[in-house]
Amino acid sequence: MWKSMFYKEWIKIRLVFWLSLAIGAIAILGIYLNVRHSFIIANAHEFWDGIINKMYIYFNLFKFIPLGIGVIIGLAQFIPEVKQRRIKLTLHLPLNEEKAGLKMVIFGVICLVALYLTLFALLIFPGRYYFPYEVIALSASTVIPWFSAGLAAYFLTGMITIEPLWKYKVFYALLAFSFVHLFFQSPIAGAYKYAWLPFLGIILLMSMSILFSIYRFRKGEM
Amino acid sequence: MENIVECRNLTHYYGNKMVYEDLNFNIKKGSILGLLGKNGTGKTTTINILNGYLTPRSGECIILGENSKNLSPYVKSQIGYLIENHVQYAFMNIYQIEKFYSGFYPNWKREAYYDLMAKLKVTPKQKISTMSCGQRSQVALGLILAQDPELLVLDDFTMGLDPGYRRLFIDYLRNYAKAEGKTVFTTSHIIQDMERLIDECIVFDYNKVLVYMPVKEFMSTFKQFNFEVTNPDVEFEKGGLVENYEKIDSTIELYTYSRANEVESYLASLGIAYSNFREVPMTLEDAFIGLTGKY
Amino acid sequence: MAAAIIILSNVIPTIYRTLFKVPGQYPSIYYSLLKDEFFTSTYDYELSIQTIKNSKGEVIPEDEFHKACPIENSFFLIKKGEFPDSISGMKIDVEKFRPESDYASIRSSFMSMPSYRLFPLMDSKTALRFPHDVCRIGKKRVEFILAETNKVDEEKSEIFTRIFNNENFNYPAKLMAGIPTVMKPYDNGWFITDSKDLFYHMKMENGKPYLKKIETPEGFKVKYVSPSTIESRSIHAYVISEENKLYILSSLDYGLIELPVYDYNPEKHYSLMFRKTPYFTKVDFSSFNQRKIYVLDRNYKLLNKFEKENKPYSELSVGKAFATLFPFNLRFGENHHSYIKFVFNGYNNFSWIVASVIFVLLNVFFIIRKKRRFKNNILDLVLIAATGIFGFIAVNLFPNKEY
Repeated sequence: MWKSMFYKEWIKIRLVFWLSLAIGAIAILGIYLNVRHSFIIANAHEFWDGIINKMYIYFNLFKFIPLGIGVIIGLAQFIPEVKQRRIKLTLHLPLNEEKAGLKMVIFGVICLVALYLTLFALLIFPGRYYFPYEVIALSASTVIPWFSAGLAAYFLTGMITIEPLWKYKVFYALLAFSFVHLFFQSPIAGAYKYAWLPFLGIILLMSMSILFSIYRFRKGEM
Repeated sequence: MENIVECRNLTHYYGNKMVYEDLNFNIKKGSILGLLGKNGTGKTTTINILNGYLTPRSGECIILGENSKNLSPYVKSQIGYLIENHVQYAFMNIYQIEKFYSGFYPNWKREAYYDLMAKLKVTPKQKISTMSCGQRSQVALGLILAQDPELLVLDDFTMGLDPGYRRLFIDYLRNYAKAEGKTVFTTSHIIQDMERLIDECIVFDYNKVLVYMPVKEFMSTFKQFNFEVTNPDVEFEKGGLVENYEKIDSTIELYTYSRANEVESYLASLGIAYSNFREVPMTLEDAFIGLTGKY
Repeated sequence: MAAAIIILSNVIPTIYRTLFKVPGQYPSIYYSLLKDEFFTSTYDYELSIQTIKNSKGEVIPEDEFHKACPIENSFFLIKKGEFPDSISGMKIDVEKFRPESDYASIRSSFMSMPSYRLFPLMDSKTALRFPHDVCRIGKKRVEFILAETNKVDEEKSEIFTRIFNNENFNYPAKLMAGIPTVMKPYDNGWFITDSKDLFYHMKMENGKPYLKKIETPEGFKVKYVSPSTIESRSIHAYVISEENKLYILSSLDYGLIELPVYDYNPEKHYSLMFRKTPYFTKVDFSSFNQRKIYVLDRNYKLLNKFEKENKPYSELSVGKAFATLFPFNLRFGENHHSYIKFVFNGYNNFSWIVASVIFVLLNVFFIIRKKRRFKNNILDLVLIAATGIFGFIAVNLFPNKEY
């Protein structure tokens, strides 16, 4: 059953999945081409100075990419379910409704995490070639909130998409916007050192949000 | 015979608008029940309650021994469900959707599905979303046949089908159900061809049930009499002998469960002058329209 | 739901604070050495009018102010040819007071801040030039990493490590304070503390390392160092200790001079300023509702003190309404660091109970009107009672599991 469920979800998101990977990879390639270019035409130490002393984040181009990926994966997964109320088919499958919903989310999260880990590695590790360890470590801690925002956006997109009433959709969207905004509060590299764990906790709580929608569906509000 | 479905005292409202009150019906094993009614009379509501997508205001539905509010995965696997408009995962193709569903049902009958698909002029790689409504109906039916459930719940499956596909669907379904001893619950607002399929019928009107009886009994007891009246302003009281009537100029179409002589003596007792009194044979569709009115 | 309450407890109070902002007043306060008096200057940006008041609150003409504070207004006085020869019997040399003037502004948020822990070490004896490497004081040694190759300059690292080892430096460095730019009059290296809180001054002179251990009082720990670039080079830095005491690190034998300022608290006072003139030093710090200025003489003894205190937020009507409306609130930052942190604050007094009761009653009314069963909503009501407006919104935004 896991296999079948994942098969369906994969059919829905595979295009978007590869697209996300491509966009992320191209952005990272662009970032490092720019670094290389700066090293050649300007001075390496000036570039370092920008990062170390002037709060310059050399991969700022990447900032909203995980967020975008979270949103489009969420849309790709849940729009086909609400179109023509196909969620009825999913909930009719011979398994517990909550499990069915959660399996969908789990698959989405697996794909998202796979994408994020790949992009994280692509973004962070090549940096070691140009920069000392400290820069790489703080860069890694800088991108964690960006990826967290993407994960949050995925859950919130799912919730907003599945929500049938426009009134609630708008409320949820406002709330989602305020929440996602919290991940982009500080332009300082590494500012989320003490906050990313509690944020992750909130995101985990939010991962259950799809259940709300399923309860409401079962009550017949959809 | 055992009942596959038992619905007791179903009552449902949308806000303050009553859909129906105290609806009772059973479906016996191996029988085909048709729930007929115009649009918006609560057919899909009933299906939703049956499938556990809607909690009724009061009353309950027992399906294969379980309350529809909390169906176990096993019982769900024994219900084949065809959604209105033959909705399926249209982003898949014929091959993918079979692969998907086969993982859920241990008794999956792959051949039943592919036999039916072979008759369609589609390629296995064609996405369901690019198929015609008729083709999609066959995909949806094929999936249900492969699932091999005890009970088939079909929500308005005739919608959008051209006459050929409708016939094909109905005949295929009836043969299958009767041969395998399956129980079928179907709704429809298109009555044409329905008598070929269903054993029993329930006719819904807005917030009430007009008929609940075997189709044969309904067809043999419900009658239409036509006659001309001299006074075109004549009105009949509904509810007693007269179930419904239509007036076309001076011709009255009168629908009743009474026999011809009873109607004639009724007319005489009211002192209505009439001529050319005759019984008109009806199809199920005629009877449905006669009963529920054209509007 | 819990997540929603957490988010709402940040979002709604933020909206409230933005809507009902308390207008801040930031007058400039001048000290007149001649009159031993403080003058307050407020500038109205709409009317482009400067109003100057003396310590009694009387509005005085600009001329009088210029004469009272000749140092701050030297520009005007010199132009008019009215600059005095001497102040309080001290001869004034216009040429001299610039090199002896200094200014340092310390925001509390600088005190704890994410850092790469790498710094550029310039040469203090040669022309100001940005180095091609960065310095790391790591777990075992000092390292210089060349930007061009991203590799450690072993030779230079070795030379510096030896000096550090000679001074019994406890690796790694904890605090590193310097001015990593060439936009300064001169370079004075970096002030560092080691893992045992010993205080050092590190420099490079003609390519050679310089490390000086700074003698500190028993138990002294450095919290923050703001290096000075005073032209006369008479002081090295302004230093804040772990106990929030303020010091001047004199360049005379690295003497650490404690200032008679004992109520500075960076968790409260978000800004701290030192303004040094040849005649006095002004220590000026402010919080949301408090402004304090200490004027110290040339030997850093107290000359005069200015204090102004407004009502704190919680006593203003907007603040009282805030405490009533919101049982608690969540912020993501504080003044004394630059990190994002979860800062919960609330349940300080009991005024929130009123609002919570109102919201509970409102929800009871909703339940009755929608003919829902109380039994299924008890948890919701408890939640509203505890979290007030946030719970109320969350409960009504998220349907609960009710069959």
